[in-house]
Amino acid sequence: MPFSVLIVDDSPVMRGFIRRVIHFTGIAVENYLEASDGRQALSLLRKQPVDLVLTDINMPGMNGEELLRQMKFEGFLEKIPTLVVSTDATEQRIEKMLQLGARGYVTKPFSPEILRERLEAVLKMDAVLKMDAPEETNHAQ
Amino acid sequence: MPSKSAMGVEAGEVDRCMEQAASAVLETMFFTGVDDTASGLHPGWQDDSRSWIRMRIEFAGPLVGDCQLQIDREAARALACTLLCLDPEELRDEQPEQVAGELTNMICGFLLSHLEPDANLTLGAPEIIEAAAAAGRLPGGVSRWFEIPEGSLAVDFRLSSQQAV
Repeated sequence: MPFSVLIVDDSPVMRGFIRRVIHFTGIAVENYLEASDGRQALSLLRKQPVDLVLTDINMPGMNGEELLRQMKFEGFLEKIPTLVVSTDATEQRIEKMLQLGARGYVTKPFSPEILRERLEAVLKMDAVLKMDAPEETNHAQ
Repeated sequence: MPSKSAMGVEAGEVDRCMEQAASAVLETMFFTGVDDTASGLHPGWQDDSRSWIRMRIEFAGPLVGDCQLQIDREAARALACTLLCLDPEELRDEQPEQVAGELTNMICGFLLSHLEPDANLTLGAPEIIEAAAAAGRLPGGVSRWFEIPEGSLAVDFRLSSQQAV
């Protein structure tokens, strides 16, 4: 099954860096999508589903916090694991983004190893959640 | 910069954080480090014989102000090659400026997160500024000069006000 990733950041070099780190994790990504703000990201998500979203917070236009709210409202957030990548390392912000539904948070600056670890953790958590979901359905029956 | 009683943040604290911020960003993201650093407005700020990229980022929230970064173009090119894993001939013209913008964003974000760990601060987008605008800065901010293996880098941070939380 092809794996697709959406990277949301207003900095093209940061999108490029994240893409390169994902490439080196060994995760077989077939399709990379990029957006420079939340609005553009939502537009892409409505057209085609992705398997993973990485988003910055501070972006002109729609910021990452509003993007998460909209993704939740439109039902994307429960299906797509989302990792926040931001310079904002304040506890308040991290808690808020996790409460909104982000599965993980990485603060910039970050080493490629840290991003890889968080990505693997988020994808592992997602796999566990997906494995659990049919069981719950079966129990309900 | 105003004293702690006026701004809630001491200049010495900003200076220490600035040094940590630059080292952390350079070491973690660019696999380089600081060879030498000096506090205050270094004469190099105004050295027009070198080609500089100058960026500014504004922030708002409980702390309001801006952070300026000045980096020589060759250093920005070298950092861009490292960050993007590109050979110098593969680098596009706009990428050193984009890297300087991201460097400003990360240093400023690190500073603010450490100065006001419980605050809800908003960072604007990095913007390129002209030499005249950079030279026209009033004294009163916290400035630091860094020599890195790739060239020179300077950071200036100043608060314009502190809002009641």
